[in-house]
Amino acid sequence: MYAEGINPMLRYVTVAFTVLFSTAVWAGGVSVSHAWIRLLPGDLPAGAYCTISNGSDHAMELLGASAPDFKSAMLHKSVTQSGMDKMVAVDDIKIAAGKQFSFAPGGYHIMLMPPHAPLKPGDHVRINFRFADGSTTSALFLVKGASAMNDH
Amino acid sequence: MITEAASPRPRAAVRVAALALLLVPLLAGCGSKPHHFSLIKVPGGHEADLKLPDQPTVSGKKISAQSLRGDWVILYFGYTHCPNICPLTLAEFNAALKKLDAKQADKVRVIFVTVDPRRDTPQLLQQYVHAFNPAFIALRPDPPALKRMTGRYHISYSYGKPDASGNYTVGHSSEFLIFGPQGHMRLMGNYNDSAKAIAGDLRYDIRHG
Repeated sequence: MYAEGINPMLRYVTVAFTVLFSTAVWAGGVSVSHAWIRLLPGDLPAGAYCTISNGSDHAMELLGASAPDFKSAMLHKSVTQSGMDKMVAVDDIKIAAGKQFSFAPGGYHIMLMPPHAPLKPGDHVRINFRFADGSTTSALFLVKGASAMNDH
Repeated sequence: MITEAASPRPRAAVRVAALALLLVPLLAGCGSKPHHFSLIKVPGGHEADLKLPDQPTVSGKKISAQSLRGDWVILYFGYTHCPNICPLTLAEFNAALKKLDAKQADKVRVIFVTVDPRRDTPQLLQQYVHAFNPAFIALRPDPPALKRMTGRYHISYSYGKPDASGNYTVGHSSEFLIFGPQGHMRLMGNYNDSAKAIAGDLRYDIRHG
């Protein structure tokens, strides 16, 4: 994790910095807000949710995500097919200039599985987003309990 | 109520009917607006009544439709390796129960039935439902019982192809069913129904059930 092995004071400073700036992590005009993870017991896959705002003057194409604290991170959405809801992988997500895209419970989500080390509500984990133009954006996601709701 | 034509005293019948119409909202909620259900109201007798497999819950408790008489039962089918729809739905149940007053919430039982008994061990299932609400109940019917149960309520499920690490997704109907104190199905919903909507309908149904 980001503060592993670092002096505890620095960790608190990092956390304070995260709290201050977690609602808007800027990188090349793209910002990530409302970033959180619904943690499920044990090694069960977790869903990550956030809003990505494209503050740049051109469309951005999100190609993938990575999460160093997890074995894998995949862009997914839940779809309804012949009366059943299932998850499908998403290859790319286009976000027009000035627009937002939301990963939200019930729809698009970043599927994380499984964590390298046990996590608990209140922890923060980093997720990196990769765009078609080669740029990346990273944000810290707040770990919440299973019964968390998507209210900010 | 409109029985003038058949009644020998039409005027009196109309008066009685009018009085009854005036009294209904008073009796129903002291003049409050009529309740509009957010969930799908199931017409009486049209759907199957509550019936549970003759198997204990994952925590080892004996449970049956008979033992749940008097309670409202929310029945939902899913699997623990579902990161999105299932946890959202269970979190909504928990939030809905928190919106009810304690007396009403005590009358509601949430039962999660796994459609993935292969991966969902009793221990994992218990841990899973407990993470949402310690009072939630988990059932892990054996495959034939699961087939009968899902058939009864028109719940479909299918298993995806395992990936290189053996992980697979499960497609399943996302509907939940709410049964009243006599075991009759009363309401249906899915994860698009907010905790507020579920709580609002439950509150009304429990008050008038």
